Amino acid sequence: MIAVEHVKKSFGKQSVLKDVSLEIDDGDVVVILGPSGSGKTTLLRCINFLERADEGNLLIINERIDLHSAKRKEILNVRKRVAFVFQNYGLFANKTALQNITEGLIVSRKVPKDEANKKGEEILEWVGLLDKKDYYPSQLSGGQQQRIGIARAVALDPELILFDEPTSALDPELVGDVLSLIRKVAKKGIPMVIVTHEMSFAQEVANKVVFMDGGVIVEQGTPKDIFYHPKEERTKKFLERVLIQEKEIYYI
Amino acid sequence: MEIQFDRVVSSLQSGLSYLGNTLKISVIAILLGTIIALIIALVRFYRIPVLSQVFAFFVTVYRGIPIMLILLIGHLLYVMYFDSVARALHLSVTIKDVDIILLGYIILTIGGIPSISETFRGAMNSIDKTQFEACYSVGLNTSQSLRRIILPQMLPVAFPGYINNILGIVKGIPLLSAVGIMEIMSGALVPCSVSYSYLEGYAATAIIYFVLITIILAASKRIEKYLMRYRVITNE
Repeated sequence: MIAVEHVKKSFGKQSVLKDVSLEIDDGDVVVILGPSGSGKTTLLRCINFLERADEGNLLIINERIDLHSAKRKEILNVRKRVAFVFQNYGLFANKTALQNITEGLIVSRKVPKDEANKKGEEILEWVGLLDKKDYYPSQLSGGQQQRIGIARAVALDPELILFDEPTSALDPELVGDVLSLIRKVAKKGIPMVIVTHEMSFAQEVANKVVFMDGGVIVEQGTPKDIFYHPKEERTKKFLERVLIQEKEIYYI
Repeated sequence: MEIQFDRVVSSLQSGLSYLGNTLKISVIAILLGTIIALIIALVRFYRIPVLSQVFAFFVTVYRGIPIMLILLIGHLLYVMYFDSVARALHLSVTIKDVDIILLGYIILTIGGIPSISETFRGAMNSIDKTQFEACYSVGLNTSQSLRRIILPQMLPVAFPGYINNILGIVKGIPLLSAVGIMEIMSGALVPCSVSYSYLEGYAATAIIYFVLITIILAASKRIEKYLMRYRVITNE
């Protein structure tokens, strides 16, 4: 089991996370919903130390790591176990598709080069992009780049994958490919936390939905609970707004 | 007055005999300057306390002073204090034992550092923040990220400006003749002091520099192409 406990973070005077705790069980797919500025992305970034929390702990398989004052070694340890998928892909611009996947394996995990390349090719095959292995990110479409971003995360055999709005930088027609790849990752049983605005995808893929607003978790439960029987007023309002917008798209 | 080609030729020969000196000064000033400038750029980019402010001050001061003045002041200090500094360091050398070309290395290195470090720093700033975060997220530490991901992306951005900085250093070398350092120009003017054929001497210097810099530019084009290999633009 992985958990974050009592995470607090503020930027200057603005408090972005006010005591957030979240549990992620084995094989869980947790989707975090919420309006922009609710702190969902900051929460993910704090877990991977891309942002230093002011307070809070990360509990990862019987190890408790202080999100505020962890030492360099502990941070590296967390990053070796927790992978991150970026909103704007974050592929290394000077590395080919294959090298993007093998970089972390070879440099950080000391996997021999041949072995890393073999694994990289297997994963590229798995995401359907083996033919692009020698392409640089600038030669790939956004959807292809994000699929490689996901492949890079999966290749590291992480204990948790964090997805930070993985489809919001994509052209609408490319979103489907990336979402179906995330479904495929979920089937592998790797626990994941996904911040997304894709409501129908959230309903289908998640087994736990978390609604955040104003730096706190307002409500959490199964997709059915949250989407059909929300208890909190704020959740209802948010869902009404987004779901109406989604419906309107069909009429346009 | 007519340009006499035989005098141009003798100036060329005389100038070229100091090509070695010029190249030595260029290479040392460029290498040393690049390394120090890179360190300064990184310290300032990561905002390492104290050092960052010290370097910022250094860069601001040296950018604000013409290199000719740095040379003349440096030369005076060199002449006045070399012996006492050597004695304080328990070195058994005096100013007479040392080739004044040493001053040339120092001054041109110092003269090149501010602009090169600013070129590097600007290029570092142009790199997307996500590139750093992606490095960290796959478990790379800071020095691994720099060596493998960030610098290889910074260099092609910095390169055109960096080549300009380098040319500035090479073109600054004739200034050193003002303090008696022998290089291409002072070499080319040696025959002129007898024959008063200064125009020929300057023309010869110009020719040598032009060829030298053309070679540097041709080489830089190839290097740039290599550095840019991942920035492929396709029309697909």
